[in-house]
Order: sequence, then structure tokens, then C-alpha cells
Amino acid sequence: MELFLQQLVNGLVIGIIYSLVAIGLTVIYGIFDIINMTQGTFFMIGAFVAYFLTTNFGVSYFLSIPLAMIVTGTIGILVERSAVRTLRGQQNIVFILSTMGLMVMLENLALVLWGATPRQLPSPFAPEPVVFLGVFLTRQKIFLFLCAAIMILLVKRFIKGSRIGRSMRAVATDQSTAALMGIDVNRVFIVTFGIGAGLSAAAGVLLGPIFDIEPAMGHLTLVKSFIVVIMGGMGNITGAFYCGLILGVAESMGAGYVDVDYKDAFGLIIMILVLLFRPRGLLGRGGFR
Amino acid sequence: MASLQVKSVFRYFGGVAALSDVNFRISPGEIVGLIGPNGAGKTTLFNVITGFIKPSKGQILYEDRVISDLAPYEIASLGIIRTYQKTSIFPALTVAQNIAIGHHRQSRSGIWPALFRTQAHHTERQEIEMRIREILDFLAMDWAKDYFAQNLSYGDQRKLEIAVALSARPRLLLLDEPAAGLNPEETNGLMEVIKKIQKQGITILVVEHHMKLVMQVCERIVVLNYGKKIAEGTPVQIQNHEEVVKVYLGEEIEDET
Amino acid sequence: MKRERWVSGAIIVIVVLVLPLIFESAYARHILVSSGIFILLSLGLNFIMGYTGLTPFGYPVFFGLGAYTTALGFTYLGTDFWIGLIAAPIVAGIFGFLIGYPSLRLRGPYFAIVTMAFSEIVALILNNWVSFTRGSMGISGIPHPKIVIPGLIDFTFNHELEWYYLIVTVCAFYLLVNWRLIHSCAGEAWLAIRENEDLAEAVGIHTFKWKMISFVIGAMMGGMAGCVYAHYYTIASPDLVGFYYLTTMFAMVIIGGRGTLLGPVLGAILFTAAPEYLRAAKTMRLIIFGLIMLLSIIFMPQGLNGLVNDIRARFRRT
Repeated sequence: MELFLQQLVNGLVIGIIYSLVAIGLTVIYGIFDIINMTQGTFFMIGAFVAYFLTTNFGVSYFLSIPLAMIVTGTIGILVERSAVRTLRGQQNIVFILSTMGLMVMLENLALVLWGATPRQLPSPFAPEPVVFLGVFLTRQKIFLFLCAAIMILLVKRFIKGSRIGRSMRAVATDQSTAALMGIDVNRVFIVTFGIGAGLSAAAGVLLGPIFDIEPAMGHLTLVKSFIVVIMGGMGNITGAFYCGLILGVAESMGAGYVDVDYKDAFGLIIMILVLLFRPRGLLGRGGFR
Repeated sequence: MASLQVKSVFRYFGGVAALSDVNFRISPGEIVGLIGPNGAGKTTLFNVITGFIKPSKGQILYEDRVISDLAPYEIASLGIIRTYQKTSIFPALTVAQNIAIGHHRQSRSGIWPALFRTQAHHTERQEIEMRIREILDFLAMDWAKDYFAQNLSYGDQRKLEIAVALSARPRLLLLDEPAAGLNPEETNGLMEVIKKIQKQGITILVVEHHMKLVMQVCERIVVLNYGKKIAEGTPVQIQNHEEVVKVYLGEEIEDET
Repeated sequence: MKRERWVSGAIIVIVVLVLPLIFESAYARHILVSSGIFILLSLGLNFIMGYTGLTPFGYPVFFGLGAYTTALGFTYLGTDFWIGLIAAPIVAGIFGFLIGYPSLRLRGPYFAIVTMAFSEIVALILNNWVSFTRGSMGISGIPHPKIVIPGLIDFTFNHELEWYYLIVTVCAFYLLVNWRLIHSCAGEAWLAIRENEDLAEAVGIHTFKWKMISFVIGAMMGGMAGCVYAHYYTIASPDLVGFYYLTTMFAMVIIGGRGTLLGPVLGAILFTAAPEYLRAAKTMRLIIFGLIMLLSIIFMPQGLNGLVNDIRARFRRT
């Protein structure tokens, strides 16, 4: 029972990170209809920005979160400008390739600048775990979960409530009509990529203190967030949230009960199964919501 | 010669009935028109007939054989070929290649003859060459043979669509708004072509908004509105049909110049 | 016009045959052989991506499987290069069928990701099933090919010079197969699927079947390339299924010009030779690949091949 609870909790913690990154990916897909291969790179950049801010500039960890989000969000906007806007009107495949080119560039640039040696993003919390119902939890993990959950709620609110949010939904539904109705489509694009990149960066900063950070850390995260987005339905934010948690827990259970080496395979197998039998997502509805 | 039967076909999308108890037959060699306001379900019906969508209820029969459960390519292999409302060609390929692709379903030689360049392969390529010339001649498009499809004018692209469809040796040809966007001269040309196709023994079902074309070319007309069939008959009968007139009242009926 | 073709063809053949005699250093010849292996890979990827229009992000899996087929065959069954040359594409083809069957029902981006998922799973297995695959260290000591006719010939492909001619033969084989398949009814089916899948289906092309055939053939090409790689570099390791090769292959095909025969060849040669020549480290290489890939998608969608065609056209006008 203890193993079960422990794995469950671990799974939820990593899961909400998957959710964060996946929500960024799914929002970009919902608006642009493209799959952004740089989503994992934003994750990595966010973590590194926070690392440098805290280590070299003595910025507090908590402050580094929004700062990393802003910096990465700006990079995200540059990505949109260079790899997406320039190709407006072409087939989807083209965007995958262009964002892939960017991803390769940015990731290896990071490798050249910062080296492959993993670094430690220092946590502001005491490392001693809190024990609750036989489950071990560090304060960092608790903070991570709460912070991520709040961000997700805020994003949902923003998209539902604000004017730009409504514009985003309009563009997601029908771009040309939205433009005809006077919506500044370019502004929506900028905001979308900014949000997508920012969420991913936040995830990187939150997870940073728990696992080492290194330039290739975005890879696996990208693959995992694909899995989540496909499970949850492309463009479906609520779906991405729940399925992120589900994936995290599934992996955790698999690691705990089956074989820790093949942990990553579980998610992949789930995704393949979902695509075969419920291509619109586990919750049955794709579409921007 | 072919005969099509649409039998009590319903098609729902969510809660909306795009098609509701549609029934009609087409006899071999006829030219039948399918008209109705936008959103009446005409293209949906085409999609159902050609297998891209399955009917929620009801059946499509072709020569007394149920085809509504077949895949689109299987339906096409029976000789039911369609064109699309929005220009649908193979853009980055030449006109000749486009037409050759239409011929594909009749090809017997596959990978192995292609790899080993057997006599069968060569014979077939020659047949295809001949067929391309035949069709280009039929449509007076010989000049276009090596042009890239995407570089053709709109009117010529629509002609190419028909060329590709003809290349597939249709027995039942479904044309989805072939006159859309054509100028009056091109439209007259189209009407001639449709009649020429009928003379080859091909049955034709045409969806159109261009009333002059419909009235002059079609022998019978089926009228849809909100997914239901509201009338069926000869052009004269349809023109005087009370409900049809009501449905079109207030709508701009395309007038010839 | 036809005479022009024969003449330029003959010139190319002569140049290709004579090339390693001009570049005598082992290193230069190694670059030639290495380019050749990448030509095989690029042609295979191009077959799926350039002609049928699919984007198989999982493509490196066939490369890895081909290499491991011959490596494992050698380790456990004592097979050699020549058996590997036949077995590797067969194994890769089988996996192509198994992976393709579920994946090809899906549209573009989903297909790309699912194939990548399969590829990751295979990579995981190669890395973790240590007792069978030797894990992340891979299998080494794979022997160079030999031609042995007792009493007459005892020849081992030990040096880059021999390997060059071997690779050229395999490349020529690939080019021949590619050319013949594309210029046929089958080729038209694939092009039709790339250009307008719905219309292809509507004129009677069984798109699923043809996508599958294209995928399997492409897989087989990748597999054979893997076998060649394994016997040249004498190792097979899980990173063949990894990101470096994925990126490199895609960059070569895209920058070279997909959907053509010359494009992938140019891409492969340029992007093997140039980085080697400039002594660029792997990471710098990738940065430049990524950048050029991005730029070429935006500004040069026809790739290097398109550039060559433009130059040719300009020549004809003068």
C-alpha cells in the first residue's frame, strides 16, 4: 500500500509537469494547427535561465520563475517570427520540419555554450522530506505541484475570460473569419507562442531542482508532452491537464511495479494504443477548449 | 451503363440531420442534376455515395449491389468517379502525369514489372500514353500536356479535373459544381463536354448552382433542401414546382448573359 | 537532347570511378565512403518522404535494426556481410510492416510522432536488453566483408578504396531501383498520394496499401544501409536510432531537395563532406544543419536540387 501511494504521489508530481508542457504544446496546436518541436527546448531554456539567474546573479528561486518565463517567452516569440510566420499558408509538415531545425539549432547551441555536464538548480527548500501517510514528499515537490496547478488554472481562466483569450479561441476555430472580424491575428500568434513557451519554461524551473539540468533534457519532455497531447486530444487544455497526470502516474506505477528501465516505454505504448483505438483522445473530443 | 439507387439515406452529424430519408434512382445513361440551396446536403450525399462518409441509416446501391459499406477506392474501382467542389488536382505534377494517375485503377502491372522493366510494363506505359492523348484531344487540351497542373488557369484546372476523372474510365460520373467560377464561355464549353461524355455511355450526376446549365443539360433533376428531397422531375416540372420556387425565392439564381 | 544525357552520364560515371584515385589519402576516401552510406539513408528516407509525402520521424529505427540484424547475426549465428546484406532489409521490412500497419492510418503529424514512438521503444530495448544486445555499448568487432573462393580469391574489404567501390555499387543499385519504381504506375500512385490523397483514393488508388508498400521499401533501404554501416565501422550501437542520425538524415533530404533523386545525393555528400572538411565537431555540425534546414525550408523549398535546376535552366538560355 505504501509503495502504491508513494508511486502515486511521485506520478502526480511528474505528471503535472507533463501537463504544463503539454498545455503549451496543445495551445499552440489549437491555434496554429502545427506541432511545435521546440516545446522541449523551451523547457530546457527555462531551467537554464533560472540556473544562471540564481547562481550567477543571486536572484531568488521564486523570482527566477517568472523571469525565466519572460525570457523564454520572448525566445518563443522569436521562434514564431522566424520559423512559423515566414511559412504561413504551407502544409503542416513544413512547420514540423522548420521547428525541428530550430530545435536542433537551439539545443546544440546550448550544448556549445553550457556544455553537457549536468548542473544542479538549487532549491530554496530544505531537502528533508515531509512524511505524510507513509509517503515521502520534499517541500520542493509540494511547491511544484501547487505552483503548476495554479498556473494551469490561471491559463484556463485567461483563455476563457479575457479578450485575448476569446480572440485566441476565435482564431483556433477559424482563422480567416477571425481576421475578417477585426481580430489582430498576429497579436494572437504572439501571445500563443509566448504562453506556450512560458509554461514550458516554468515547468523546467519547477522540475529543475529535482533532476539535473542539461541541454538534452528537452528531448524526452517533448516526446512525453506529445503523448499527453495525443491522449488528451489536440487543442484540448483540460485533456492535457488530466492526461499529463495520468501519464505521470502510469509511468510511476510501471517503474515501481514492473521495470524501472522501461519506464519511458509505458507512455509510448499508451500513446500508440490511444492513437489506434481512440484517435481523438481519451476524453473523446479534440478541439480547442 | 450503370444504375444508382439512393435508398432511404440518413446522415447525422452530432444532432443535425445533414441527409434525411433521401430516395431516388438514376437509370443507365441519364444525366441527372442535384440542386438545392447551400447546405442542403448535396456534397454530403456525394461523400456518402463515394464512400468517404458512411450513411447513418439507409443504403446506396449500384447495379443492385450494396456499396455503402465499401472503402472509397473500392467504390471507385466499380467505376463511380467523382470530382470535387473545390478544385482538386495533383498540383506539382504535369497534366500528363495527372491523367496517368487517373488511369491507375486499370493498371495491371505493379512493382515487379516496374523493377524488371518487363514487356508488360512497357506495353502498359504505351497504353497510358495513348490514353493521355485521347483524353486531351477529347477536351481540346493537347497543348497542356507538359504543363504543371498548378500553373494552369482556373478554368483549365477544372477541365483537368474532368480529364482525370475520365481517365479512370467512369461508368457513373459525379460532378460537384463543375461550373463554379467559370465564365460564360467556359460554362458553355462545359455543357458541351458533359453532353459529349453522356454520348460515350457514361451516366452522370451533377451538382450545380448554375441553373441554365442544369436546365439545359439534365434530363431529370432532384432537389434537396435541409437534407430532404423536396422534388424530383424533368426540368420543366422542377421550374414550375411550387416548393422549389419558394425555396429559391430571394436567392440569386445565376442568370446567363 | 538524348545525346547530351548520355555524355553527361558518361562523364559522371568516369568521375565517380576515378574519384578515389585522385583523393588518395585514407581520410578523404573515408569521407567518400561515409557520404555513400548517408546517400543510401537519404535515398531511403526520400523514398517515403519525398515521393509519398509521409514524414516518418521514426525512420532511423530501420537503420538501427539493419545494423543490429547483421551484428546479432554475426554474434550468435556467425553470419557475414553478404548474408546481412539480404537479412537486414528483410528484417527492416518486416518491422516496416509492423510499424506501418497501425501508424499509416494516421494523418501527417500524428504519423510522424507515432513512428517516433516506435523508434524510441526499439531504442529503449536495444539499450536495456543487455544480455541480448549488449546494451548501450553496442556490438563491436563486426568483421569486414570477405570474398572467398577457395583456391582462387581471398579478398577482404579492409581499406577505404575497396569500400568506396563497394559503396558506389550499392548506391548505383539504390538509384536504379528508385528510378525504376518512380517512373512507373507504382510511382504515380505514390506521387498521387503525396499531392492529393483524397483525390487519389477517389480515382481508385488503394492509398493505404500503397503507403504501406512505400513505407516497407523505404524501411528496407534503411535496413540495408544499416548493414553496410555495421560492417564498415565494425560496430552497431543504439545511438543509430537516435537524434543525431534522425536530424542528419532529415537535413540531408530536405536541404538536398526531397522528391528528387539528385537532391538526397547532393545533400548527403555536402553534409558529410563539408563538416568533416571543416573539422566541425558534432555539435557545431548540428547547429549549422539546423540553421540551414530552417533557412532552406523558408527560402529554398526545392533544396539544392532546385538550385542545380535553376543553374541548368540559366545555362540553357545562354
